[in-house]
Amino acid sequence: MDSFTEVKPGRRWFQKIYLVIMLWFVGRAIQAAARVDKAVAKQFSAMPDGYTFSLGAYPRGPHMVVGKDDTGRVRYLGRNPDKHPVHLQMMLKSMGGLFTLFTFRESTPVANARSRLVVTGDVPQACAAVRILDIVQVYLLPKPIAKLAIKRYPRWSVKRHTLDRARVLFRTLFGR
Amino acid sequence: MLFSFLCPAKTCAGVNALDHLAFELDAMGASKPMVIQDKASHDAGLTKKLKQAFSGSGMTMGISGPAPEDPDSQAAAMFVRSLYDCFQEKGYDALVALGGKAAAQAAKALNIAVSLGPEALTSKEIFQPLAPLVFLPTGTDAYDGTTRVTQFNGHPLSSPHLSPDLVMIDPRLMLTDDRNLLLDRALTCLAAGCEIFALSPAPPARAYAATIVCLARSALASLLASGLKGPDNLKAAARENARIHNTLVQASVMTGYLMSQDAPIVSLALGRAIAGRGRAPLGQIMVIVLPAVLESRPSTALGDLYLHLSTPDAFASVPASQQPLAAVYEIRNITHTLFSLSHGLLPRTLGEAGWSMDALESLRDDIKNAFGLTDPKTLTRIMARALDGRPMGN
Amino acid sequence: MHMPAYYEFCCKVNIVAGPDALSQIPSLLAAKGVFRPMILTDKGVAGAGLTDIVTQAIGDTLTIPAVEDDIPPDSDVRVVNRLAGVYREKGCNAIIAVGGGSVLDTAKGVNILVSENADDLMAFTGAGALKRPLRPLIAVPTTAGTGSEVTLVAVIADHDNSRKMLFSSDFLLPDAAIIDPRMTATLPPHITSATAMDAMAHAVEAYTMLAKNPLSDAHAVEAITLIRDHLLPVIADPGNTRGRLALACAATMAGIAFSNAMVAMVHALGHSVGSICHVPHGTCMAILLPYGLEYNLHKVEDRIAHLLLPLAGPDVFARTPEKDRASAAIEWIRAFNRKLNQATDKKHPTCLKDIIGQDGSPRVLRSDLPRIARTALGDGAVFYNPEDLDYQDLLMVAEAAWEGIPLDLSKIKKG
Repeated sequence: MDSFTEVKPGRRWFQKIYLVIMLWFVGRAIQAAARVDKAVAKQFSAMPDGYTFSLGAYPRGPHMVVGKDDTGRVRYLGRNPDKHPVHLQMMLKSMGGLFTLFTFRESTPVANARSRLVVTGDVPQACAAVRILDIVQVYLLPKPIAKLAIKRYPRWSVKRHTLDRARVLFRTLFGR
Repeated sequence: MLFSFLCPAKTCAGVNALDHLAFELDAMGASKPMVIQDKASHDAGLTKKLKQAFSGSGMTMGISGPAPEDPDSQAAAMFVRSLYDCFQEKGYDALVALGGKAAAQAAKALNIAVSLGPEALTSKEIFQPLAPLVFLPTGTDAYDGTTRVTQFNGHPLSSPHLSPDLVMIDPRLMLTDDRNLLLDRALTCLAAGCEIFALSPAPPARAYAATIVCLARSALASLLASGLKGPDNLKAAARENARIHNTLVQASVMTGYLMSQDAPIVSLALGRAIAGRGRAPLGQIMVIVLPAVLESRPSTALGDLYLHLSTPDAFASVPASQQPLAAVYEIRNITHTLFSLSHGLLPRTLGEAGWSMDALESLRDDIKNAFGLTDPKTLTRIMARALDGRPMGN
Repeated sequence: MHMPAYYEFCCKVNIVAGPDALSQIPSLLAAKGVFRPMILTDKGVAGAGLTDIVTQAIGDTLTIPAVEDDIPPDSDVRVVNRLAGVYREKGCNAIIAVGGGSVLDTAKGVNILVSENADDLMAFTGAGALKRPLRPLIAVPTTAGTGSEVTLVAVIADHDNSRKMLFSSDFLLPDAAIIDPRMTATLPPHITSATAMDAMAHAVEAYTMLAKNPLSDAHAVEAITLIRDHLLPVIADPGNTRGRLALACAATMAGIAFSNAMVAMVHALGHSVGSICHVPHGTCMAILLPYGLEYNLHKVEDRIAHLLLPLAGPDVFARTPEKDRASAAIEWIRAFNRKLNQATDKKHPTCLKDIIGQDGSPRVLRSDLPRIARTALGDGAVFYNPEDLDYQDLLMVAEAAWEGIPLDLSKIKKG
């Protein structure tokens, strides 16, 4: 059949690079917030030691992996979910969907409602992970953008909005 | 009264729908789809959009040349045969039909061949599930792709297994029809939806029908509001037409699901038989015969139809006993409005369309054989009332 | 019509309904080339004689190698494993599941194991683990409530490891759902009302919450209208076959609606009350439904207002000013609950504190409410709720539902 062609579509480099950077920030920010923010620490306290979760795009990422080590310390574990046993996988059905999420054109609840998100794992832990992500987005993003990403912008104390935010941002960039 | 309703297709519609295609194929156990496109999709270069949607997925896909436009022709049969060898040799495991009837029919025929063997193309029934089939409609004739029927080399086949597993309606793939075609397709979907809503005993069918009526009515309202020719500004016209087209593709996809149910859609059967002889397009005929069809059988839902043809407040303000009349009046009013906007060119009755009772009677066998309508007295009454436009019972 | 930017809709189940729908089972299985179905049910259904009705309706055209009725109220993986063994041993090639939610879930679990030729159900948990059609499964629901016959999920408890396994796939959908009024003909009035209000909650939440779409809306409205028209007449006349069929269809339609548009806080709290205080699910739904609507009123007022038409009918809709329609819809549901309470000799409670157990003691204590609120936080349904929910919000709603007083709307934190 002369006009038949076989193609293997390429990669979306710009989206991938953008998402790798954003996911790095989010992963590092989760690690930081777990040390600074009591609400985030409380969500993690309900997870067993060694528990990990990932957020990424089908089929091959990019991903972010976060988890508790054996001592209960929350760590950003990098980009490769194959290196760790992932107990909770949150996956957008396409890189385009993850890009839409991280450019705040769809919030997490709306992406979920539009069936763009697939969650595999324990449901209560998934609820905790989403709450953690919501809090971290409030820390990372200016208010007008954070309001696009979450359902209800929280009423925090001045200390939490300023001092804790500064600590989270510092630890995101430089912390361990 | 016993009813059954089956819609084997999953429908995905809206912005970036296509981005999920790789995931959905994987969920069906497929990793290497073959894309069959029709001429219009090929000429518009739509497979480029498909490639963009697949980028980053790691999937390989095969893309055919354009399928012959007549799916029942020898050329179409040759096309399917040539793709059969390719499918087997290169290890494809799913089919994606991009376009309209030609692509969908070719894909369905090929699916039978690769799943059950080429000899199955001449069988009477298909009992086993086939390979995953995805339909990506581009036009408002999408109902031809979402039904459970196909025709291959003159041999008709009907089976729920021939319905696509997945239908994805992505605005990026739309090839906007011209305004006349949009109008007729809106009327086709509206008539089919109204009939099923009013006369079907199956709540799932009524739910689909209600959605179709709302979509078609919304499209029709836009078409009529800016006159049959549309806005003068070309850009505004293109934008409006694209929006209407997208709405109608969804309605058309769902109409195809209704066409696949056991009960025939009488207005569609009559419309196809009459429109097949020329003189007026399908949707126009359907909306002319529809009032007579609705009045020909008792219905407890005809009054509720008025809700979907008007607004909640208008519906609620009419006493229940008058709602059936109001519903039928709304339908007749569409033909009146079209008659007025077209300055008398678009007929309000079959008589105005140039038909006579003798000519309609000559279609009786076609209608009965093709669509299984066997009640001769009812058919005569419907044809007579559609001919002169008088309400049933007068 | 609400048109989201993107939506998905799927119900691949063949819905077969009518006064003698059971007699269609042989032809449905024959179309799939199978003639040896295993029947799965539970002791309650078997004891009510419903399994006998099914086997009689099927007649002699099929061989039924096994009828298993030892399915517990909470689906259990040990039972699933045992039944899969029976299926294989007896040479079955299809399943007919006759019962409610746990029978359906068990049947889906068995079907996974026998279709995949596997022993470990855990390997198929989550979404996307199943990649191909399973063996034929026919669902015969015996309540007009849960809608499990049209859902693509199954929840099976692994009590040995204290966990619940969730399975989600289009392939879990039954091939057919047989809606036959004989299956619900003997339901007592208070169970009829509770299960119908479960269906009502499915439909209302599907219509008002985040994931709604045009098709799920249309299914939801059909369900609500059928329940509105037929529930009280059926309670007054339990032998009303037409009404029983209508309610059963409503439950299936509501199941289709929520399977596609999901449910939200009413179910999150309801699951919690059910699991902690062992309250029937439908009872929780009936009580909590108006509270879920009140809580979200500021976010989805227009959607709730639209519901007044199918809920109360056109006359009430026309007479109610537009600005009052949402609160009128919520009040209609409360009033409906009160009517059901009267019609069932007060066996249909209207608040959580009035739920009485078989021993005559209250099932839900005020001291249970904090734990109920905490547990509801871990229910995925909260994410489909238009307004955010934290522990304090859930506790506030639970307390109002316990007392039976409307929510103080001024105390709702608005996002």
